[in-house]
Amino acid sequence: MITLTVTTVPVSWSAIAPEIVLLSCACVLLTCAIFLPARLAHPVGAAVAAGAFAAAMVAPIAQWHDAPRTAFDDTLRIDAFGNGARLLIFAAGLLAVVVAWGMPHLFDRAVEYHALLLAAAAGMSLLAVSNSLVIAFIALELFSIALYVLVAIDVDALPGLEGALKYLIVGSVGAAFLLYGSALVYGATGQFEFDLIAQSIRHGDAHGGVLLLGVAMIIVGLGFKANSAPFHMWTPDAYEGAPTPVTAFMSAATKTVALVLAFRVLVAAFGEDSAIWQDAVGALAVASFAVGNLAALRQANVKRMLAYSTIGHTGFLFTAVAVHTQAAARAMFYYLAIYSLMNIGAFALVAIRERELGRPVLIDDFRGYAYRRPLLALSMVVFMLSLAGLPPMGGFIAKITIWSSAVDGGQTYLAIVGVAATLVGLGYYLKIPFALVDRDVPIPESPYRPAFAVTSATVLATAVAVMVLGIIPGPLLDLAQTASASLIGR
Amino acid sequence: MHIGVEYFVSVSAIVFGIGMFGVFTRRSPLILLLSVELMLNSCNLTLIAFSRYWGDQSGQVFALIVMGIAASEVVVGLGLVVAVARRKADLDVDRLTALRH
Amino acid sequence: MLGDWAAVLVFAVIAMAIPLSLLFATFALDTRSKRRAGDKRIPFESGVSANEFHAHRFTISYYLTAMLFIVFDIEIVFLYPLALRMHALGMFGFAEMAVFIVLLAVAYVYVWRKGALEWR
Repeated sequence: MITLTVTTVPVSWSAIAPEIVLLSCACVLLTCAIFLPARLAHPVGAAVAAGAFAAAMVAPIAQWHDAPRTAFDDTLRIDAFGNGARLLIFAAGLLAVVVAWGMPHLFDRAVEYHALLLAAAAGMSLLAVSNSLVIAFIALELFSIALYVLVAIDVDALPGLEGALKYLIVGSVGAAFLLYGSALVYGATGQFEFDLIAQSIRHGDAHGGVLLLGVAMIIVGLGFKANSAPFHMWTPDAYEGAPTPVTAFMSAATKTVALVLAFRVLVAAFGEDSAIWQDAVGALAVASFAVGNLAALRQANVKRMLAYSTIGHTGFLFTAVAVHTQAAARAMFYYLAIYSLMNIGAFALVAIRERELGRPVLIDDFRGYAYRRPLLALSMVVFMLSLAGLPPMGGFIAKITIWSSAVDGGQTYLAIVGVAATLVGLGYYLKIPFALVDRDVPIPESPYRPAFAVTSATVLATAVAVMVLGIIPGPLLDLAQTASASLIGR
Repeated sequence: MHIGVEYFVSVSAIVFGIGMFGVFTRRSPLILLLSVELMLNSCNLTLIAFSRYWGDQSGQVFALIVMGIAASEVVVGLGLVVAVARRKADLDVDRLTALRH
Repeated sequence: MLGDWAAVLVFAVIAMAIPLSLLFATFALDTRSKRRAGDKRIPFESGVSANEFHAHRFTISYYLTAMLFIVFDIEIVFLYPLALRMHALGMFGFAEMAVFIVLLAVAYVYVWRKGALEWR
């Protein structure tokens, strides 16, 4: 029989400070801003959201060098690994606010856009530090539900609605797999907290078969959320249908948080039994390499091509999870930072071109663009070379560190497949730089509107960052080192 | 009378399987949402069964939370279905062809 | 052993008895016409005739209200256990419940101000 014991856990405000800031700002926006006149909605929403993201960064930065600690009865683990992921998420959120500035059809829903962005970021932030399958599921659903609505924020556009519906159904199936896996792991070990699960497995208390099935289903669920290959079918539709600022945020922040969760749950809870999941994650990585890169080759729409390319990048990130050494965690963190920057930059550029043309952007729409907007075109070249993994961009160092960790960690085959995937990737990433300098077409029309200035500045800043972090990777790698050491102390 | 945990887990596995089968074979968004709900509710059954098995209430608490979350999720889904219907689209995912490659 | 299944048997009998008695009641209490014709021959549910379904469609307001009802209604799931253990949880539980209700109120105010509760 179940005995009811009531215990209250001590509240650690510093552990959830970012989430409190983000969610209360979202509530304030929803309650106050609907009373605002329509023309003030976007400026106020953007200001509150930007302020909230900046304020949310304070706690993770302040706690950066603290020793890892658990909070709320072991359900959260505040460490540099989670705090680093939080910082990446908040940076992506800030950039999403900036990219959305001046988006014409967001005006009448600007309040909702920013409030949902804050709610999604709060869920992601909680997920980054969760140490329990319960909190992980709640946080995952918080950010997923916010994202489903964000994809369809433009309710008059059918592609957004359809993309959101597909994303919701496939995403819910992924969540159901994760939940069933969690329930089976709970059945096998009697625990939800990652370290207690690991303890139970170490003592041999766990039921082997149920546990194995549970881990398998958790990996499937994570595969859905990290848009890894056999479970990627929602990615192109949701990414293409969503308003471009939302796509930029999703591609960067969702990937970050899904990979951080995958790494944390597999290492912290099932680290002892890595033999049972290592090859499964490796197989997902290989499938992602194949599907992402081959499907991207035949896309004409830039957003769709970038969506498939993110599936290819999941291959590299899952390589790091399969290797799961400290070096791999460090490589994954560096990769996630560079990946977020270059993806947001590339999508911001697509957003600019989209606003110039007033329709979805095809690769051909970039023909001759270098003669019209040289600086933006140069940034696009930086992003594409970096996504392809060519020196001297950040993407090159990111891939090298992943490969070296894979070879050191005894997963050489993943490094070899990764090299092959990179070669295939050149086939589609380089289409855009070549199109940009195409002299055979008339110089494209592009009326200038002042709202582009902010987005253009963002594009240039991210391009400079991607290049500088590629030439001088030391400081970022040091930060990644701190983050990885806080999870894997070996 | 005592029913072993394996019976509950078997039932939940069957329900989860039915839900999964529905998701992979059906095309109507409403049936898809229904199937997803089946999957989530089978998880609840598993959680509650194991909660009883371990004599630990955290599984039950999780099941309550899952109920709330599943409701929010399905409401967002229904909202999207209504919005799509309003846009005069056909309620059949096979015929939602705007996003085909 | 057999005694264990007595409960199941009782449950099955009751489960069968309720719909059967309702079906019987329809015939027994039907005083208006002896001749069953037209719509009366069709199976029906909750008073809604099966044939009218295709011609008659619910308005968007119906779905909107129903969905909003579900999402607010299910929140009682969190309040019920809290209410049961209110004394044991003390101020901590009260504060948690207050925060939860404030969050619900935010959603309610938003829905209300957006006019989603108005019947159109």
